[in-house]
Amino acid sequence: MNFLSQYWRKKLIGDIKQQKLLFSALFFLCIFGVGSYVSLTMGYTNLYASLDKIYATTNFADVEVNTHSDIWFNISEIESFSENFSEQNPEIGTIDFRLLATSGYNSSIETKDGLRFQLTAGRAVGFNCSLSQTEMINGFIFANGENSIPDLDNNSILLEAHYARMYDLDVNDSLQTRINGNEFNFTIQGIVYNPESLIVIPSRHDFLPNNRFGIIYLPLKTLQEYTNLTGLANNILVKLADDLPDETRSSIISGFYSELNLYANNSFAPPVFQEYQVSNWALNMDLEEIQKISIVLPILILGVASIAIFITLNRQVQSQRRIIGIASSLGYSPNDILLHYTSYSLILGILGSFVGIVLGIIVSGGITWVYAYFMGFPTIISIELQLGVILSAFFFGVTVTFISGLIPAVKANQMSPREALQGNIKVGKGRFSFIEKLFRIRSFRIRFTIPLRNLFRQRSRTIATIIAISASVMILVVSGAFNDSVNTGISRQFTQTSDYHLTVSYDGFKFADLGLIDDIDFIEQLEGVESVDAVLEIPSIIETSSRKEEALIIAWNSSSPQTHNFQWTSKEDQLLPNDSIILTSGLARTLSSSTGSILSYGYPRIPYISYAFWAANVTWNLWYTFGEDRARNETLSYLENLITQNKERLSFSSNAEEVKFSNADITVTGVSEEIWSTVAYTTVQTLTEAMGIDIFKNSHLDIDLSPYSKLILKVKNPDNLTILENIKTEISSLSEIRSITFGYDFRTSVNLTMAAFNVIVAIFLVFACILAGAAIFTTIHINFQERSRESATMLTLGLSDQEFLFIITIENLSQTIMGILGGILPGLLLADWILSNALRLFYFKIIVSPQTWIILWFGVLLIVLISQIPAIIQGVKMDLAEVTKEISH
Amino acid sequence: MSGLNLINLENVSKFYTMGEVKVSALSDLSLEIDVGKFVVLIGPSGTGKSTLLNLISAIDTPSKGRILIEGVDISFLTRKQRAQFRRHKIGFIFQFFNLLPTLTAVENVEFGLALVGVTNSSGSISYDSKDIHATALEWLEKVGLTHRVNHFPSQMSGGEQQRVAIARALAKDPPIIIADEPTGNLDYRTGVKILKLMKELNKQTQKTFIIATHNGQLAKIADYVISLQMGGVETYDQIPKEDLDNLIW
Ligand SMILES: Nc1ncnc2c1ncn2[C@@H]1O[C@H](COP(=O)(O)OP(=O)(O)O)[C@@H](O)[C@H]1O
Ligand SMILES: [Mg+2]
Repeated sequence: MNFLSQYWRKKLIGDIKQQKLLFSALFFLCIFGVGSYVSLTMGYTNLYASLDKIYATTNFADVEVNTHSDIWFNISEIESFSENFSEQNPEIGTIDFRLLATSGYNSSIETKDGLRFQLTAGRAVGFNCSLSQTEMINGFIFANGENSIPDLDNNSILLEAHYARMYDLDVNDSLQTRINGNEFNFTIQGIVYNPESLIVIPSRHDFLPNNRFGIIYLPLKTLQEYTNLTGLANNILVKLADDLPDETRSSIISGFYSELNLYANNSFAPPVFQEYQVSNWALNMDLEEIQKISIVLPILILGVASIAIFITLNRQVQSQRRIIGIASSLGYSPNDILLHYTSYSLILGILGSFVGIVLGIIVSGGITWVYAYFMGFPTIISIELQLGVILSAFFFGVTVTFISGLIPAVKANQMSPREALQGNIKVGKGRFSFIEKLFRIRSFRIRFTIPLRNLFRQRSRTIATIIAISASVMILVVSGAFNDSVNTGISRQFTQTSDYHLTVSYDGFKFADLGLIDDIDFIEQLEGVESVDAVLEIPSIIETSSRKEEALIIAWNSSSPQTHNFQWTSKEDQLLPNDSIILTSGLARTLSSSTGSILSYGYPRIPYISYAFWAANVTWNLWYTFGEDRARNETLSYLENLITQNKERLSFSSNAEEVKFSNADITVTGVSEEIWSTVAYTTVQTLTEAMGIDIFKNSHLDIDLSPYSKLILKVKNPDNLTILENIKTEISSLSEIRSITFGYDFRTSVNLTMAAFNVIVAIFLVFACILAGAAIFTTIHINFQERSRESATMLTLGLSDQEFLFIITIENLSQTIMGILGGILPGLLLADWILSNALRLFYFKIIVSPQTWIILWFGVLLIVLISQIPAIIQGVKMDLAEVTKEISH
Repeated sequence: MSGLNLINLENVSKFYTMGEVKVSALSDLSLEIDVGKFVVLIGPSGTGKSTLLNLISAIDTPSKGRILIEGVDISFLTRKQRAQFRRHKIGFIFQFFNLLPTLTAVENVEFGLALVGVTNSSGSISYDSKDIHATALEWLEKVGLTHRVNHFPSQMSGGEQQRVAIARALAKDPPIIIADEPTGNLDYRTGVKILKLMKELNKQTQKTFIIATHNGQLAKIADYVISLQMGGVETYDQIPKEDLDNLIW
């Protein structure tokens, strides 16, 4: 086939050569559009593939079943039950039993003030070390590349890699560990990754990734011994046969679970499927974000590219109408002409897509690697070429450019020779601008009338330019607003709202009259302590008639917390009233509730609520057993005994389904503006009443068994680290303390969580700037070429270079200003949407700082000024004699 | 000759280098032009007429020799000075009119005026838009375009556009009017009318007109003819004999 006759082929090359810069800009846009699609899509696909690979290597459990907290099962009993079940259900692959215990660690971290010791929370996992690495469910990947589990004696552990990285720990280092109130000095025998902690999130309700949460792995026997739980475990991992359909999978598991609970007297919390396993769930949410961006960003860039190609080719056809005319009168077929002009965009599309794909592949490796590095993945990440992505990128890129070049090409094709041969090209007729008509401006000013008329001369092009600038500005506003809102939100949360310096977490619940009040008394008299609040944190489900949201209810021991200042949007005094709830603003928004709304709340399907139930049962039974007249002290000591001895299997009957609290309805009395979108506040009295565990308090014994999970402390002088460390040391001597966290460490974790987003924001910023630059550059360039004759005329008539520059600049600046104005509102709306919906755990009120506005305006204007430089240089270099005499340019 | 002439060219040459090849567009040309003359520059295509006009109007600089305008050597002016020179000393009339398409007839004239200002009744230079507008209107009247004041170039015929261009060139009161093939893009009758207008304005204003054309017939209406030939140059004064209306070309 004669693709293009020689003449047209030469001309095509000539066209491209003649407008190298313009072609490069378009080329660049194509590369960027296609490249961003390829890199992001392959990036997240590779990350998914890496996850799969890691999960396959480590035998990631399909399902996990836990007992309700502080309940254990006898391994040999459940083992025989499982064997029976597996025999009848061959879809069950393997089943492992583990013992999970809460633990705490004392590790040092290097800070600018020297070494600091931190008492951090964690988990000890007792696993069956007689299994080989390949048989084990939720097995390990060793950081040093080892593939077998070393022999572990009574003093050896494997340490989860994130914690090791955080505290700079390595093999043979020792780790001071607390389990069950006892201190151990373990030797680290291996640094390991585990599929259940690729992102370390302690539980669905400790919503932040937390590299300070230490997970250690030790032989089951050792942990049983250290926790006095010989022969017992509390965690079942199930690996199913490969490639089961989802339905079979869930029916097998629900069968397993219901028989198990029947057998074990309802001791087990509902099964957690792999999809909802907290680390995997969080990772998938992240990757979904990247997936969304990988679609939105390329569409935006290619959209701008197609506008630019359309403008360019349209103009080319216009300016070459004489050539087209001559060619068609000489007998070239319309198809030749059509082919010629579509070839231009095809070359652009094919070359751009090709280079975009190549660069995209390279960058995708980078994205995968950087993400994996920051998330702390093991190094077995998988980077593969995805043919599907490459082909679709190519198709996508070529189609978009081809279609945007098609319309001008068809126009050229349909031009009659007579029409084509007309000398002067139409570069937009002069007309009075709308503004002049509106304001009845009659006087002529070179500097303003000309640029103004130019803007209105080819309205569609001006609009296209403005849209392209608006698109960039939109991205800039989103990035800037994101950054400002997050920073302002976080800083306000930690300086004004959360007014604390230390939090102390208990192993489980601490009951008021069973130690908590003593602890508070002890802490309050420590030097430097200003005030102490005790809180009960209960994960719950809050519902309105139309919406439902999982949230953490934080209940305070008094109606006026010392360590928290509610940021009321609709209420003046700081009192937390009883029988009512305060929503954080994000939660209020997701529930579309406000002050005065009535909500109902209850337990979600989560395990560790049972302690409270248990307490309720015990107190209820006590009340019956001893009656009202038994001495208070005697009762207390009985309870205390019961709790220290609770390591035996307790009979426990809770309905594992979601339940509502008995006193389920509650009124919203205020909305506090905070960064959490899944937190609500109330008083302990209100919550315990709702949970039905305030029974004992109502009896004549007046024993307060309200459960608490945390203490929150404010000190007098937070900058005095010595006093702070002292307080910490004193508190760590109390019993059942699991972790002590400094307020600023928590703030650092929040910042770290947001850091990943900030990277994305920065990438977006760069994209936006380039987009704005390319868009402006193409239009300015084309405008300039089309108007070279009139520019030459103006210069010939004696217009100075400065005045000429001024005219061009005014025109471009006005377009830019309109573009900026047009991009601000959609940008703010989009930012608001992202800030309030996309982040799930956080809610940031949209704020754009004056600095950001200034940077935005100046930045965009500067980009425009820079983008017009090549065109202006061209203008100034123009051969006036020639250009003023040319028929067309 | 003495330096009192309006335009003096002394041994002016212009070369263009196109890659390796050196093209000579004008070689060793000397001539003088007096104030108020209606000069016609004739000669076949490619003999350097446009080149000469470009040199006189400081659009281009000579490769050799000197060009004195009102006694000032313009051969070594900077880009900025040349723009200033063109602004004040030269009125341009182009073959393709070169009106600014976004400006109306009167605004095109105002464009020229705004660059230099107008002399108002008190004799001082004014950049006031009212004064400029008034002067522009006067000039449109002089070229017979009162009915097209607020029309854009796209709404006017070629002849009308060239009239606007003439008004634009003359309104700012420059000593020299340069016109390169001013009738080249007009039909015969219109061309004649335009030439008539220029001739009339030359008489009225006593400005020096230098008009390039490849049509020898036009020499008949010139005060002074510069005939560029492939071989060299020939100049002569001439008393116009023929009536403009009888010109044939
Ligand atoms: N910019 C240029 N580059 C190279 N050669 C040129 C250029 N301008 C004019 N010439 C050459 O100079 C000579 C004179 O051209 P020109 O002054 O345009 O002639 P005329 O106006 O009499 O037709 C011609 O041979 C032409 O090819
Ligand atoms: Mg010429």
